[in-house]
Amino acid sequence: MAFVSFRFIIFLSILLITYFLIPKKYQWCLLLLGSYVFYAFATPYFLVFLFISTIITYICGVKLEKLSDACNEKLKVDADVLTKESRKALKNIFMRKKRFILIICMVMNIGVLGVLKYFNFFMDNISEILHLCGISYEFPNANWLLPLGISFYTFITVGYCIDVYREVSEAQNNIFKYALFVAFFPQISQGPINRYSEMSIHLYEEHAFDFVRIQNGGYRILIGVFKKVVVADRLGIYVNRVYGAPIDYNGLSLLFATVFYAVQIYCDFSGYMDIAIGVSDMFGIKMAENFDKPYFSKTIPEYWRRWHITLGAWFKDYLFYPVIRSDWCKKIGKNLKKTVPTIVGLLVVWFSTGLWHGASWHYVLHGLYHGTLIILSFLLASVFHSMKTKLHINEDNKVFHIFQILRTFILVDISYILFRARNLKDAAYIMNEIVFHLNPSKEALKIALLPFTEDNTAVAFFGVAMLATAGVFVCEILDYNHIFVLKKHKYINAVIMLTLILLFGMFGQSSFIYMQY
Amino acid sequence: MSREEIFEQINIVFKDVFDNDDICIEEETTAADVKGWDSLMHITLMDAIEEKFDIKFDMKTIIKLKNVGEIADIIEEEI
Repeated sequence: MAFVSFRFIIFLSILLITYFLIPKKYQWCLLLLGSYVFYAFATPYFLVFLFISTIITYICGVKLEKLSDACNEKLKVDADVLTKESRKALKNIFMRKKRFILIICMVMNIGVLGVLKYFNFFMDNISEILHLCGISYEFPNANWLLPLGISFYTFITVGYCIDVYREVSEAQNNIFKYALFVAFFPQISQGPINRYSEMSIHLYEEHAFDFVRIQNGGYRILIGVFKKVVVADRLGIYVNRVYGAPIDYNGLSLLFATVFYAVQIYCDFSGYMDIAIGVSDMFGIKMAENFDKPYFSKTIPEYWRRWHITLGAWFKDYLFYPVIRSDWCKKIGKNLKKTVPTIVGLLVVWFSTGLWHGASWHYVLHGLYHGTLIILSFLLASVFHSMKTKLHINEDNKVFHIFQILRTFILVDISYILFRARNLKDAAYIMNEIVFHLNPSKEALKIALLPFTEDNTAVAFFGVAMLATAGVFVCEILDYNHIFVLKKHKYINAVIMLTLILLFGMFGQSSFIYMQY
Repeated sequence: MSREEIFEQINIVFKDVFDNDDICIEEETTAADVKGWDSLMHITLMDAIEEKFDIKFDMKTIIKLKNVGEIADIIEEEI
């Protein structure tokens, strides 16, 4: 069920009214039922995968906690008898058992994701390698669909198990309550990748009707819908045309499409998050924020702390730290250089981030591009620092900040060419055209505006897109909450927003970009 | 080793890791108070503290650390 659809408005209204009418102790049960109905509307058969993942990780969580409790109990009971060494040895015995359970759980969960998402990619690469060795054999491609939100809920469930394993979070002993955490409908198709320790605070408690909360949630939804249907889908028309056949367009059109894509993907993904968080807020459940004005970042590492925050945090806590703290990585560091484990960890994380986005080499390259920039900024930090000192650059200077923001945006936008292009050949062509064949002129500009509508209304279409984009970013700087908190203007703001959505929204394009991941 | 001595030693590690002689840590010092204390530097810092005090932090500690006071608590417990 698409968020921007009449069906979803009906679904949300019924669920919300029932939620506040039934006895409060059953509210979480209704949310679980509603979440499964929501999922079944999209892909009913794929509920099976969701159930399997839920059951496996639930059992794993309970078992892991039992082992942790048994270990802590033994340490407590024998506290007087155990020496420091024997305590360590006892902990290691339980740790090995816990690790075994965690590995089985991860193999099963990530295995399902791996097979469904990467099988064809893997087989195609094997075919390519065989071809290079002179053996011509084409493996048959599997023609299956990817279950909705599998990349997201797999990360949510695996993250939960690792947290229980590390004793960062307690296990949920009620399977139905746990099932709600996994399937909670605002997060299931595109995240955020919530943590159990944070979500469980609000998810199962009783919520009284609160008009202000509903109102604020509603405003947040309107902001999300505006970003999606007025900005993202409008710019998407241009981007799809140009990136669909780059050879047909001039350098200026390719440059416009690349900049527009940066705005489109941000408004699409953060718009979805605004809707998801707004919906969740209405039920009294706080979800993690996924964006913090990323295009105002001054460096690439800062950008990744402000873009898709929950995915970055997942990779940091569950992949980067374990890799960099592993014995083999530390050994490399001791034998070679102290910075080597960090570089290895970053390369593993950014390769995985690229692959997570899609089973294609251009996604992997996109990830590695960002990884390389972060590694360079890490390695050259002292060089940059001394350069700034030599050039007498004041780091607090606003002009310097603007330069940093623009530089970061350009570096990010270059990566979008790899991300959005259909393949590496297209990406190389687009980069070449933008760098060497831009030829900006009045005539080229006229041609470059055409892809919006391909007739004489293109300029007006472009004007609306630019005004809406400017509106979004100005509101980001001013902070939406600041605008909406003004009580006198609350309803006026909502009416204005709704009117703009109805007047300038591009309806009919209901899917979000990140749904495919 | 007294808590004050532990803090003195931690401060030396901080100055070394962040290459900044002006750093002066306190019980309540967090990542937000020290320029450059991001996830990359966090691991470098943890490694340096482990080496200095010959201890080993578990992953829960590394992820959940709230401030320098908590680092000192663990060091006090371990040594």
